[in-house]
Amino acid sequence: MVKVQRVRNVAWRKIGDETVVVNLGRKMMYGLNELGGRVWEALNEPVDVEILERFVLTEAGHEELARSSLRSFLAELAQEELLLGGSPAPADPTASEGYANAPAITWREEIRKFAGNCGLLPAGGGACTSVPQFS
Amino acid sequence: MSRSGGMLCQPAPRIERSLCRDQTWSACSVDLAGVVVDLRMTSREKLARIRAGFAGFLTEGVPHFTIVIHNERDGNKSAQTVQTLDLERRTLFLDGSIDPAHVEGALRNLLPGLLSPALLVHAALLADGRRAWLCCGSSGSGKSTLARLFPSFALGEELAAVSPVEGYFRASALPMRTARRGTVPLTGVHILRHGKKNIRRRLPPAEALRSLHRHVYWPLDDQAAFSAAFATLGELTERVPVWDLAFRPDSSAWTTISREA
Repeated sequence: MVKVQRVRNVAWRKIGDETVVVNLGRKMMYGLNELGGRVWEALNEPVDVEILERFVLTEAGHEELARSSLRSFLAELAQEELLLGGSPAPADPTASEGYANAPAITWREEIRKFAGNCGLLPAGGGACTSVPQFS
Repeated sequence: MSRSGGMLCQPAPRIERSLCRDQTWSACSVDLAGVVVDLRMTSREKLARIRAGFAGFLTEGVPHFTIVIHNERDGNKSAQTVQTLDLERRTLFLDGSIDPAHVEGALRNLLPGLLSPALLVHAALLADGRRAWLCCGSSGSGKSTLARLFPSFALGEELAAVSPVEGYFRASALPMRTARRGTVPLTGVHILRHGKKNIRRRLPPAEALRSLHRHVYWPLDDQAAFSAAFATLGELTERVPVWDLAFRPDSSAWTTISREA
């Protein structure tokens, strides 16, 4: 049996139907759809992939789609370094493409070190490139 | 910048707590949304410029953090400056050719971590005395325009802090560009864009978070501070209305901004 678990050093929060996950190491923020969020919550502890498949099957209602969509989702999480130990199996990302009930990362955005105007002082500003940055 | 404990071996500059009385070291303390930062340097002239810039935000409060500026010479913004952060003593040492812009840059980098769990937001802050609205946006979106249109309501035009308090959030002005010291309960958040008429649309919490996070200065170097600030953003977007606001740059915008949810 293959067990999977999500990484620990991430911030995440359920907001409405979405789950927002932050991988600070990669400086990325992700939005998971409702089913993706529920899988994410289940990944809090090591869990059998087969158990997850049955869980997704309950929601999805189609065995093959449930399996392929879950594998794709886990592969995506692994690719984003959100899964301990990497992906349990390679997945065909097109196998469940367009399937509405698939767990999925619906959006992802880079978290940027803010590049707004320089200068807290009214007389300051305009020196962004020369202001020493933390490394 | 190095984060070493090496500076612990160096004697701390001896200065009087009272502002700017010491013959060698001059100092002033600045209140940044409740976080008091001491600025210490040997150049009275440069400190005077910094004091003038922070007018209205100076305080006699007990400092939470200190910035010590060594060897300041004539301003040369391109010259090498070394920053050493001593976390144990909550002190940042700036060494080298120091221009006031370097102090500003250091503060800009430090503030997200110092303020956490409060959020540091790129926003104009408008308030009517008992209610405050954040107006967020990138450069050119209309923050300064709103501050100029409504000077009696504007606490700041560029940077604000949002702090979770029991049962509500409060917004504080920070001294960047034109700003007045003030802290007011936060009523709403607007994501700005220019429009031909005033239209606002309330964003669902997840969309609000996604829009608003782009205007936050995140403490990216500190996992704990980041997690706390992220939790604040999550709570904020669930409990405070966040609007997408297209506004016409005239006095009619105020009615839309200050309308109850």
